[in-house]
Formats: sequence, C-alpha cells, structure tokens
Amino acid sequence: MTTTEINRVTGPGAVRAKARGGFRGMRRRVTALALGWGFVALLLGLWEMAGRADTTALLPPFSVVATELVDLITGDALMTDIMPSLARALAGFVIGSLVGVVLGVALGWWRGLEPWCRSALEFLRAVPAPALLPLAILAFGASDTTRVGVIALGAVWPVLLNTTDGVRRVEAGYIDSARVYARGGRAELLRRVVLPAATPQIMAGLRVGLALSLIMMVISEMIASSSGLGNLILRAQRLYALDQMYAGVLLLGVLGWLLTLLFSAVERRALAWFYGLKGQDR
Amino acid sequence: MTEQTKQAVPMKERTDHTLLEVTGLGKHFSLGTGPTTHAIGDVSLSVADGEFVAIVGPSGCGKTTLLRCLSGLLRPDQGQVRYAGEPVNRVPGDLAIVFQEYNRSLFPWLTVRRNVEFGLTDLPRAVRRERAREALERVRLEGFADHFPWQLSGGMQQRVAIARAIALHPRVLLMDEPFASVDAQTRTALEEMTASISAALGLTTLLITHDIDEAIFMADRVVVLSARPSRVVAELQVDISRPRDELAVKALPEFSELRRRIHDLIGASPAAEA
Ligand SMILES: Nc1ncnc2c1ncn2[C@@H]1O[C@H](COP(=O)(O)OP(=O)(O)OP(=O)(O)O)[C@@H](O)[C@H]1O
Ligand SMILES: [Mg+2]
Repeated sequence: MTTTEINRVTGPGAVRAKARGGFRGMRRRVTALALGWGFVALLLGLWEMAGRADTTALLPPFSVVATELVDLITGDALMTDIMPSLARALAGFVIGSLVGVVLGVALGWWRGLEPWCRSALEFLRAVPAPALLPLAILAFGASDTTRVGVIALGAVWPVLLNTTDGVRRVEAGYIDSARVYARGGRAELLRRVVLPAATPQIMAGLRVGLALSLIMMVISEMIASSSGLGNLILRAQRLYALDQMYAGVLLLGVLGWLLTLLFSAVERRALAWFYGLKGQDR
Repeated sequence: MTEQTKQAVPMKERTDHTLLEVTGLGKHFSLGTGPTTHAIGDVSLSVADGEFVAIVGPSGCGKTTLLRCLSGLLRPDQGQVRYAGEPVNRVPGDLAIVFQEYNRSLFPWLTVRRNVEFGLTDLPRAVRRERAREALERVRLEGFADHFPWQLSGGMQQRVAIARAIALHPRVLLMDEPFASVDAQTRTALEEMTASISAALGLTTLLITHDIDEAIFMADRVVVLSARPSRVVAELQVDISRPRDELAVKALPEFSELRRRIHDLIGASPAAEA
C-alpha cells in the first residue's frame, strides 16, 4: 500500500484546510464590515441632525464634539488625562490578571482549597469594587496606588473564576494521555497540558477583566483623582463645557473599542488552534 | 527486546515469558449516592512477551475500564495487575496507549509533530525530531507533521495517535478500539498497517475491540469477555500464519470457524444487566 492510497482512502477533503480564507469568506467579511460602519455613520448622522435641531444646549452636534475630541488628543489633555488613564487601566488590568490567574490556577489545581476559600471568595466577589474606594482613599490617599488597586480588584474576579473553572474542567482524555506520555509528574502535567487546555477560558476571563478595568478606571478617576479621563468628564460637566464632556465620553468609547480590538487580535493568535477546532463544529 | 526499532527484525519472536498479568480483577463505579455500576466482575488474563492479544466483548462491558486498570491509569477494586513481574501502580515507562477517542486524546494546541514528540522530552531535540519523523513515516503521515490534528480526518488522527505511541519505542502497546470510528475501507488499511508495525517493532500488543473479524485478523489469541459485569468467557488461539492478508485470511475456513464460535460465545454469555 502506498502513501497516496491510504491517505486517499480517508476521502476527499480529509485534510480540512483552514477554510477561513478564500474569496467568498473575504467578500462576506467586507460586506459585514461595510454594513457595520454604514450603520455607525447613520447613527452619527442622526446625532448631527438632532444636535443641530436641539435648543436646550444639552446635545451638541457630532461635528462639534468630534472637533473637540481632536483638540483633546492633540492638546495638553493627551499627557495630563488620556495617558495617565490608560496607564492606570492597563496597570490595574495586568496586576488583577496576574493575581487572578495565579490564584485561579491554585484553586483549580488544589481542589482541597475550595472548601476553605469558597465562602470567603463568594462574599468578596459579591462586594462591588467601587465600594472599597473610600476605604482605599483613607489608607492610601487619592493616589495612583488607590486607583490602580481598585481597578485590579475589579478585574481580578472574572479572571480568577474563569481560570479556576478552566483548570478544573480539562478534558479527562487529555489527562489520561498526559499520564501515559508526560512522565514528569504534576508540575509537567500542569505546564504542558492543563494550562494550554485552560487557555481559552482564561482568555475569556481576561476579556471581561479588561472591560471591567476601563469601568473601574472611570469610576476611580471620578471619585479619587484630579486627572484622567473620568475626571476630565466630571470637570467638563461642572464647567458646563458640554462639548468637552461629550468628547471625553466618545474618547472612552473609542479607547475601549480599540483595546478590545487589540485583545481580540492577540487572542486570535494565541488561540488559533482553539478557533480551528471550534470552526469544525459549525 | 527493549531497543529494537529497525525493520530488520522479520517477525516477533514468541516466548512464553509472561509480560502482563491480571488476576481476579474487579471494578465498581459509584456516583455519589447513586446506583453503582459493576463494570468488571472477575477478569484474569496474561499476555506473553511479544504476543498480540485481542480482547473482544459487547459494548459497555468494561473494556476501556479494563485497559485503564491494566495500564495503571485506574486502580482496581479487587485483584492485581503485574507488569514484568512488578505490581503496577503508575503507568510503566515503556507502555504506550492508543485511546478510543482520538479527538480527546491528541492535544489540539500542538501540531502533529509535537503531539508525536510529546512523550520524548527526555531526549535531545535532534533525536526527538528523528523519532517523530520515523514514527510518522511508519503511519504514512510524513507530509502532515506541521498540520494540527483537527485539520485531519478521523482515520488520520488515529494514525497520529499510533505514531505518538510508537515514537516512545514502547515494549507494550495497548489499543482501545482504535478503528471504531473510521469507515470500513480505512479500517482495513489501518488494521493491516498496525499489524505490520506491531510485528516489525516486536511489540507486545493488546487490542481492545468489539469487532470479531478485526480481533481474529490481527491477534495471536482472542480473549472473549461477557457482558457487564465482565469475566473471561473463553480464550481462543488463532493459528493463522503471518504476515496475514485481510482478504485471504477472511476466506479461510479457520477464520469462519473462529468467528462463529466467538459470535456464539458473546451471544450466549448471560447479560447481567441491571
Ligand atoms: N468514570 C466512570 N464513572 C462511572 N461509571 C463508569 C465510568 N467509566 C465507566 N463507567 C461505566 O462502566 C461500564 C463500562 O464502561 P467502559 O467504558 O469500560 O465500557 P466499554 O466496554 O469500553 O464500552 P464501549 O465498547 O462502548 O467502549 C459502563 O457501564 C460505564 O457506564
Ligand atoms: Mg470503551
């Protein structure tokens, strides 16, 4: 029997190529993108018209807000507000994620820990992180420590819970395989099988953690800061600088969107195998 | 017989030296307070060094459970397992397994090559590469080293699992219904391929299957299990010379005779179902 023979026996299309590329898929994606952006343009157009028709001065037209936004990005606000905000959000996200992954792996791995930690964790998770801001301010002042700490506290839970779950629910078949083919013991099992198998769920936790980091950033800056985007929005509102207030909100939206986009790109690379695997179920 | 890997060895030598031995094995499963399943009643069997043994039994009779107990993956409730004279507490280093569900046993985050190399971390990289190449060549997948398992068909994935097993240069190969989920044509090709690999490498092989034809075609001896709780109903010697050709073997009168007997044995075994 020859190679071609046995490989052909498995049938045409036996090798499932990455069916993602291809002209048709490309066209569908372009169409989807065009529709999505078209709808955004429509909404912005409606905003523009509503803003121009508005007599209460509560809604400036989109064009005015957009100009203000460009001014923000090109002006002092970039260094005094936007960058500090981003730095805090990312620092909090990174710290919260690290703590969440480490604790989550520990909890998922040593099941004996669960009975001890369960109630405490469920309680702590139920406490909304912003509620701890006043306490944090007492302890650390209205400092970056406070803000980053509260952001981390907000991000930690989804990461921790997803990681624990992912580590616990590794396919039993993978564990059997590892026990036959990876003879290095528990540490090797964790590193070579459990962690990779849990990555999709860890990533899902990180995604939620990222969104929460931005929310916590805004809250912490509104309450305990004299800089940052959250504070900028508040300042603008107090000065009745509505254009700037709207620009701040719009900028937050854009930043959140860009960060999510970046995260998705990283995720797609890291989890190419996972999407390939799932792609077959569809 | 530990380090022989070259095709030069014409056929495995048969010795009567027992390599794997199970005595009075029993296994229950209980799910909390729920009903208990008596999977394995009382199974004793032994496999000689270099022998190819097939275990047949009806679906759900505890074949996979038996294999997991044999390999040290699962602790039996009663009885004991000995491998090369030693009691089995963990998976022996020179034992490889091809699992029933290839899509849950190959690692989807690793390429075919890295899956095949998975058990070889102790070796230098160049040796690992060479072993993987050699194993993939034996299962005729040399062109697919850089694919991911999920990009391959079921039969090809099962061949990757076989390559992963033989790359270990094992002494014993356990296979759990390796061809159950591939189509009939592929199945015949895989059976012939596996039989010739096992012979070429001088492996001691234990094949679990519920396909009687497959058991007779591939094995030196067929062990027939009853329905759950399983016990050994009969052991039949297959005196058909090797190398065997699937069509020729199936035309032999010995084949039909064995086939009929095993069929009757399985059909006649009392089903002690709950
Ligand atoms: N981990 C487990 N927990 C509870 N019951 C189990 C477990 N593993 C197997 N069983 C039960 O033990 C019995 C034997 O299962 P096993 O998988 O060994 O059968 P099998 O002969 O391999 O079946 P098949 O031919 O379908 O592969 C079944 O009734 C099954 O429900
Ligand atoms: Mg089974």
